[in-house]
Amino acid sequence: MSDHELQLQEYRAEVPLAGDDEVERALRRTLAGGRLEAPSPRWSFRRPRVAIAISAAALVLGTGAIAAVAEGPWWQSGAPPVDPQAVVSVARDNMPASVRVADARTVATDGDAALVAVPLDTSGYCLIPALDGRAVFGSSCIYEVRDPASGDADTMETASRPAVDGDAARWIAYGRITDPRAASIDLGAYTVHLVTGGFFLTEIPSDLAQKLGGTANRGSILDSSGHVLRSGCVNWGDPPGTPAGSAHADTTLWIDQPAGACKPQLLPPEPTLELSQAKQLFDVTLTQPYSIWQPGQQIAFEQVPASDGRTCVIATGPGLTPSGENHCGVQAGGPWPSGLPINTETGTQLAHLDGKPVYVFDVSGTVDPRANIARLTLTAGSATAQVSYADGFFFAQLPATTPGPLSGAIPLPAGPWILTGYDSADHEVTHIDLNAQQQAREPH
Amino acid sequence: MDVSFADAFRAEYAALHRYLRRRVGATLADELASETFTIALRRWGTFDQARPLQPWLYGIASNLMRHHWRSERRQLLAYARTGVDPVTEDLEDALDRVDAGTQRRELAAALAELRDQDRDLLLLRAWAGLSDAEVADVLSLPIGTVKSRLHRTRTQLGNRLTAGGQTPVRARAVDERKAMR
Repeated sequence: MSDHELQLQEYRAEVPLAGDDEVERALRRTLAGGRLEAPSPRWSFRRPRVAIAISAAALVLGTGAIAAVAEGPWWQSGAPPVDPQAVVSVARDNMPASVRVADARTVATDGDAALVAVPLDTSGYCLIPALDGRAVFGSSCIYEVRDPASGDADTMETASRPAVDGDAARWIAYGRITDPRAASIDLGAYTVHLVTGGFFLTEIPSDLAQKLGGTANRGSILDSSGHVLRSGCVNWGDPPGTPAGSAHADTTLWIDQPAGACKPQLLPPEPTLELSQAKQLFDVTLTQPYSIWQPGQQIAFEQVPASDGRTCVIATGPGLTPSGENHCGVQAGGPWPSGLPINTETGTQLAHLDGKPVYVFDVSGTVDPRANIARLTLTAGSATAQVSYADGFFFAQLPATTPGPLSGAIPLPAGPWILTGYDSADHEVTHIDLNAQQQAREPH
Repeated sequence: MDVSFADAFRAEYAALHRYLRRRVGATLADELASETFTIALRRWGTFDQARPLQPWLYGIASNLMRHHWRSERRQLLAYARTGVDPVTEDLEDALDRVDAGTQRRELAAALAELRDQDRDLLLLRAWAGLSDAEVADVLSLPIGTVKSRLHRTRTQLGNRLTAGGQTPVRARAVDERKAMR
């Protein structure tokens, strides 16, 4: 090997391999349809990002009939979302920067379920499925449609929501077939018809839910004459109400499997938390809204072992009874694949204070015990934020900011905000510029 | 052999993700790796398991990566200009990288100057660890073309680095040992 080749081998060689935990999360996400951000139940510690946080805000969509247009790109037809700003917010946090939000359209409806599509670059697209006027299922994107007939750029998903607060459980199938010849999909149990652009949305009838849940059967994509364009495996996934479908669940609806090889691909079961062994880390009196809580409320962070051997941290507080099915949230106690003494994660949430929209930010994470960090501070010039820290886990809230023009990631409050770790002798061990870190992680 | 998708994912995700992360950084790598395996899942049933898995997966990833060549180039040039590598800035061992900073910046500039297709081919070989034959499979090129393009690209890279005043690492080490005597 030449010297220059050796140099090339070593360049960026410090980039670490994903750890087992990250791989498992990615696997779960892929089996859930590869969405950019999977929604979490509202009681999970790791709150949904802004896209989900705004779900309480009405994403009221036009429910009028979709205008038939013989020619032209799909975004020239269909009703615009009634609340484009809500779509803008979803796009801002969960979609690539090149989405054309001005061309967002309600492309399909079924009852009070609606599907909003947003063009991406020249041929890509993003989908936002919504129920009850709310974008409860997050979003997913395809970067480019290069060979429409191949199906590579198709999206075919199911999404379920459990019964919540008196609302019935819901289960939808939605997506897009990019082959312009396609007219309908024979799902086996029933057939759905595609609308302009190849989009579809169907609520899976409740009387079929238990029968179809967890099963797979042959299906076909048909042209307008009923000829089969492609056959594959319809993978129904977990219906709402089953253990795996007890929270929001999403599944890849279609797998290109040959006849005889059609098998269900189900989400691996979530590990359960051993709440009887929960250990409280610290209390926090909130200075900003956080998850379902408001400023002034006191919440607690607890360390809980999970059935898969991990140690997790969850948040508890007024109006919330944690259950064993809580998401793990932050995994405490390593491993430390990055080699960094402090692993940070910043959360952003759109909230309303005194009737005005604001972005609120939190910083949480884990500290490698080998770093011997005894306390943490978070400062920006003369400003400070309280950092709660115990047993290798920390949490802090930053000041709120006013939403401004869109340009990629929502920036942290002006700083730089510096998180500093000190040892027991009060010597600095390490510090992190959170604003610079955000820039590095999400360059735009 | 009937490998489940989950087993294949567990075997290949970390390496593929790291390869992509070295090329375009953590955020994009998350998205590209996710998209790669989402496509792989859709096509899992038709994937001939007698074929090696890696070239198939890297082929999907490479097709997705094409849309981000410009971003990759921009990041390489940014590092060459500023000395701050957006891809590795949040990682540790910054001191090591400061030591190697000048060399790395020249290498980044040289990589940015390569044709996108050639950089793709070179990094599939160097960073993904694929063989010439596997790279040929990934890029649907004859193996002879892969070999000749690799040779040309390596030569171009070497010439560019030497022209940039960079002393090859081994030669410098010898010089330093001589100086210590």
